[in-house]
Amino acid sequence: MWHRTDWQRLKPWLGVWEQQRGPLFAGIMLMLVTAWAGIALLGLSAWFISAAGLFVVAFDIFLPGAGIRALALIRTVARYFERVRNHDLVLNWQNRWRVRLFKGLMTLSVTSTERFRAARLLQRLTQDLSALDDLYLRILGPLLVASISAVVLGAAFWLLHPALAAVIWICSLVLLLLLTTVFAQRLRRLSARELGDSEYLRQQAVEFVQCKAELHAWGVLTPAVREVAQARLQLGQTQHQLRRRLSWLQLALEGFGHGLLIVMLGLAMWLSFQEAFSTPLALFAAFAVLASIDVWQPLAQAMLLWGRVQGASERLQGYLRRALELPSVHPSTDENRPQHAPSIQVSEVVIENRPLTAKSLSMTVAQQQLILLKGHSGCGKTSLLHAIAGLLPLQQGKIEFRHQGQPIARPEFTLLTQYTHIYSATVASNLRMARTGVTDEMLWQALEIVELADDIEGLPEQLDTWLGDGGVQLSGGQARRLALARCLLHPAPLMLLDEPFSGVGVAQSERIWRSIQPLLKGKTVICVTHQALPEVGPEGSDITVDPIVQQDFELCYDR
Amino acid sequence: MSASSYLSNLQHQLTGSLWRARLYSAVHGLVVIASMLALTWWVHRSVEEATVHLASMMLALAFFGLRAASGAAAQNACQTLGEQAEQLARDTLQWSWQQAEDGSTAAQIERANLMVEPVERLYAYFARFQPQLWVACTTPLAILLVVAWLDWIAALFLLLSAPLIPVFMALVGMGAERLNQQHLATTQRLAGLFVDRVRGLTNLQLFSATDKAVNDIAGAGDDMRQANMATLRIAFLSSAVLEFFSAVAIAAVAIYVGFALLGYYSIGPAASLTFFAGLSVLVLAPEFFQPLRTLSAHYHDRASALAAADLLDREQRRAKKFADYSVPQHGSDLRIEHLSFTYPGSRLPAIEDFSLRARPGQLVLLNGPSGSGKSTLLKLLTGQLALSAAEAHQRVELPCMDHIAYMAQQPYFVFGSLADNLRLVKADASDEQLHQALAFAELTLPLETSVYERGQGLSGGEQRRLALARMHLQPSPLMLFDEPTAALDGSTARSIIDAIVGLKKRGHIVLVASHEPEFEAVAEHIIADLSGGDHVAPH
Repeated sequence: MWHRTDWQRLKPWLGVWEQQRGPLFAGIMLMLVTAWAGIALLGLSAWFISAAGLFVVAFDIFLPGAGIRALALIRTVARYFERVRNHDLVLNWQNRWRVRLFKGLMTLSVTSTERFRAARLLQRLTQDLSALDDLYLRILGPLLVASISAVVLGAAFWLLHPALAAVIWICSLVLLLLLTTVFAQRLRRLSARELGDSEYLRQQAVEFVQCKAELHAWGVLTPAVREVAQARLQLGQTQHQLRRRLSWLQLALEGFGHGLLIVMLGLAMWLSFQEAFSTPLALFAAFAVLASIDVWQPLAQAMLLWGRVQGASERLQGYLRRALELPSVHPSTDENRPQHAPSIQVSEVVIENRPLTAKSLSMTVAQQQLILLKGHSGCGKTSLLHAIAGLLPLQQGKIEFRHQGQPIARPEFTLLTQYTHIYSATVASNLRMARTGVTDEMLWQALEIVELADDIEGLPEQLDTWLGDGGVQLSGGQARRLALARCLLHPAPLMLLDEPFSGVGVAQSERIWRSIQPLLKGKTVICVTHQALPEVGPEGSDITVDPIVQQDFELCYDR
Repeated sequence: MSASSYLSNLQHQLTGSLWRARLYSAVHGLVVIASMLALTWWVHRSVEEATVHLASMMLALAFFGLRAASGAAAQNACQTLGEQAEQLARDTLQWSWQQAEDGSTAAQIERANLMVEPVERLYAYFARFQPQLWVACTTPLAILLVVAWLDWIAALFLLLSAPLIPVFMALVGMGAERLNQQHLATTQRLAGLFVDRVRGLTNLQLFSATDKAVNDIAGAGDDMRQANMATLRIAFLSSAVLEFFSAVAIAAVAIYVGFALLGYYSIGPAASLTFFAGLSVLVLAPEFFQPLRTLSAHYHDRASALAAADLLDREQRRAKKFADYSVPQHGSDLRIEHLSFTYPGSRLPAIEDFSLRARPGQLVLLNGPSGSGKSTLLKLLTGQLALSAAEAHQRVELPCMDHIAYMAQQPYFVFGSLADNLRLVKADASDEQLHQALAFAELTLPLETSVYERGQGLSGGEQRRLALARMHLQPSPLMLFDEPTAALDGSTARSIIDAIVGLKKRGHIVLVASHEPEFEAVAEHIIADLSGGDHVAPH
C-alpha cells in the first residue's frame, strides 16, 4: 500500500478531496467521535462496576451513571451524523468523478467513442466508477480512525503507566505494517486473478450461448459444456482461496485483538496490584482495548478493497488512454464552418480501416445534388460516408469540398448513423439535441413528415414523454424515424444519411422519402441505402434536385 | 414469488450444509459467551486474590483459543454453504442453457452474464444471511438465560428492550420501502442516464451537444444523490434507533449493576449480586444486541439475492418449457408451409407466411438484408426456437437425419489440434477421412496444428476452411451455411462457393444465408425477405 505508483494512480480521483477539505475533516472527526465514544463507554462501564464492587475508591456515584448515559447518546448521534455526512460526501464525489470521466470521454474522437457502445465495457466502466466509493468510506477512513485511535489510546494509557502505552503502540504499529504490506499485497494479487477468472468465465459463457445453435445442430454440446465447466472450476477455486484468505485475515485480526486484551488485562491488573494505580482503572484500560477491537475489524475487508480500487482506477484511466491512442480525426469543432451546400470531389481514396485489398475510389457529387449509394453489405458505403464526414482517416487520396467552384473547408454537416440511439430524455429534448431553440410547432412538423406525429400524440405527455430507461420504449422503426426527424431539423447544408429506413416498412419508407424531399432542397445529400427508393423527380412541384442513383457502388474489395 | 421458491428450492437441496452452517454459527455464539464469562472469572479471581490468578488466566486463554477455533469452523461452514449454493445455481443455469431455446442476440449477452454476478449474489445470502438468521435467535436467548441465572432483574431489562427492536426495525423498514417505491421511477431514470449518454456519445459529438450532456449528467447525479440520501437517511435512522435502544438498555443494565454492587437496592437478587455476576452481565449485554444488528446489516443481501433468483428462475422455467422440443422429420425434402414467427415482446413478425419446398440437390439462398428473418429461420430449422402452435396451417418438416451439418457465421472451435476440431463432429473419424476432409476444403495445414479459443492461430480464411472440412467429414441431408464467405478475399470466397456447390451436386439440400451475388447463379430458390413487409429487428 505504500508504493508511490499506487497513490499516483489515484491522483486524478483524489483531486476533488482537496476542494472539500472542510467536509472531509468534519467527516473524519465524526468517525473518530463515534469510535472513541464506544471505547470510552465500555471502559467507563467497567470502571464503574469494578469501583462499585470492590469499594477501593470513593466517588460521586451519580457522575459515572450520567457519563455512561451521555456516552451512549453521543455514540448513537455521532454515528448517525457520521453516516449521513460521509455518504453524502461520497455521493457528491462520485458525481464529480462521473462528470470528470464523461468530460474525458467527450474529448475523444468520434470514431473511438463507438467503442463505448459495447454493453460489457459500459458495465465495467460504471462498476469501476462506483468501486471508487470504497476508497474513503471503507479503506482510508477506517485506516485513519484505527491509527489515530491507537495513538490516542496509547497516550491515555501513558498517564497510567508507560508500559501499557508501549504495548499498545508497538502492537498497533506491527499490525498496521503487516496489514498494509504483506496482506494487502496478497489479497491484491488474488483479487486481480479473481477478476481475470470471472471475465474468462463470462467470455466462455457468452461463447457457449452463442455457439449453442451450431453445436446443438451437430449433436455435440459436450466439449463446449466442458470448457464452461473448466472456467467455472477455475473461478470457483480462486474465489475459494480469496474468501478463505480473507476469513483467515479477519480471524487473525480478531485473535490478535483478543491476545492483546488478555496481555493488557494481565499487565494492568499486575500493575494495579503493585499499587501503580487502582484496580478499576486497570479494568477501564482492558475494556477500552476490548472495545477498540471493533475499530480494527473492518481493516481486513479494507485491504481487499484497496486492490479493487487500484484496479478500477487503473482501468478507468486505461479506457481514456487507450481510446486516445487510436488513430483518429476529430470533426472540425470550428464554429464558423461554411454554411454552403458543397460539391464534393472524392479522388482515389483508400480508407484506413479497410483491408489492403481495397481499391481506391473516386466520385463526384455536384452541389445540391441528392445521391443514393447502393451496393451489397460490407462493401464500404458506411466507411465512405464517415470519411466524407471526416471521422475516418484517409490512407491515400483526398476529399475536397467546393462551393461555386471555390475550394472551401468541410462545411457543417449532419450524419444519421447506422446505429440509432434514442437518448433517455423527453421526445422534445431528443429532437432539440440537433438544434436548440426550435419551437414545438417545428418539432411537430418534423414528426409529421416522418409519420410519428400520431404516435407521439398518443403518448401520455406528448412531446414531454420520457423515452428510454424508465420511460416509453419505441419500436425499432419508430426509433429510426425519430432519429431521421432529428437529422432533418439540423440546418446543415450537407446531409449524410446511412440507411435512413432500416427497420421501416417498404410502403412507409417510400411515403416518407417523398415527403422529406422539400426539406432536402438546397442541400447536398448522400444517402446510403440497400432498398429501392422511388425516384423523386420533376413531378414534385418545386423539387429541383437531380437524383442520381449510383448503382452497384464499388468501393468493395476485389471478390 | 417465484424468486423465493427458487431460493427455497436451493435451500432444500443444501439442507445438510445449511444445518451445519447454522449449528456451527450457533455453537460459536455460545463459545463467545463462555469466553466472556471465563474472562470475567479471571478478573474476579485475580481481584479476590489481589494477584494475577494464573489458573483462571489459562482457562480464559483456553476459551479464547476455542473461540478462535469455533469461529474458524463456523466461517468455514458458512463459506462452504455459500460456495455450494453458487455451484448449484451455476449447474442449474448451465443445464437451462443446454435446454432452452435461443432468443435474440442482444438477450444472449445478458443471459451469459447471469453466470457471473447474479450467481455471486446468492453467496452472500447463503453464507451470511441464512446462518445469521439462526444466530440472531440462539445467541440472545442463551445470553438471556445466563443473565437470568446471574441476576434476573438485569435479564428483565434485556427482555423488555428486545421486542422493541424488531418493532422499530419493521416500522422504519416500511418507511424506507415506501420512500424507495416513490423514488423508484426517478432513480431508475437517473441511474441509466450516464450509461445512456456514454452509449450515445457519437451523436452528441456530431450534434455538438456535449456541454448540455455534461450538464444533464451533473444535474441527474445531484438529483440522484438527493433521492439516495433520502432513502439512506431513513435506513441510518433505523439503525440509530436500534442502537439507541440497545445503548439505553446497556446503560440501564450497567447503572443497575453498579448501584446493586454499591448496595443501594435490597430487593431480590440485587442485594446479593457478586462482582463476578455484575461484570459478566455488563460484558454480555452488548453481545445480546449484536446479532440482531448484524442481521439488519445483512438484510440487503436478502433483497439482492431475491432479485438474482428471479432472473435465474426465469431462465430455468424457459428451459423446462422447451425441454425435449424437436422439429419433425419426414421423407427427404425440406418442407415449409405458411410459416410465421414473431418474437415474444415484438410487435412485428420476423417471418410471415413463408413457404418453401426444397428437394435433394437444390440450393436455397437467403440474401435479404439483416433483419429480414434469415437467422430466425436458421434457428427454427435447428430447433433453437419453437414454432408457435397457434398457426393451424403452419408446417415445417426436415428430411430424416440424426444431425444437421451447420456452418455458423463464427464457427465454434475447441482449444486443441486441428484433428481435435474435426473429430468434434465425428469422434471415430480415421486420419484418412480427416485428410480427405482437409483436401476437400483446400486447407493445407498438418493435423497437429494448434487451434486456440475462438479459432485464434488460424486466419479468417483458414477458420472457414476448417469449418467447411467439418461439413464434408460429417455431412447430412440438409446442410446449413450462415454467411460462409463474409469478410473473405475473392479467391478464398470463390473456392468456398465451389465447394458448397460440390456438396449440392452430391444430393444434399444446401441452405445458404449470404449476400454474396455469386450464389444467385447456382441457387434454385432465392429468398430476399421472409418477414413480408414491415420488418423490425428483434431486440
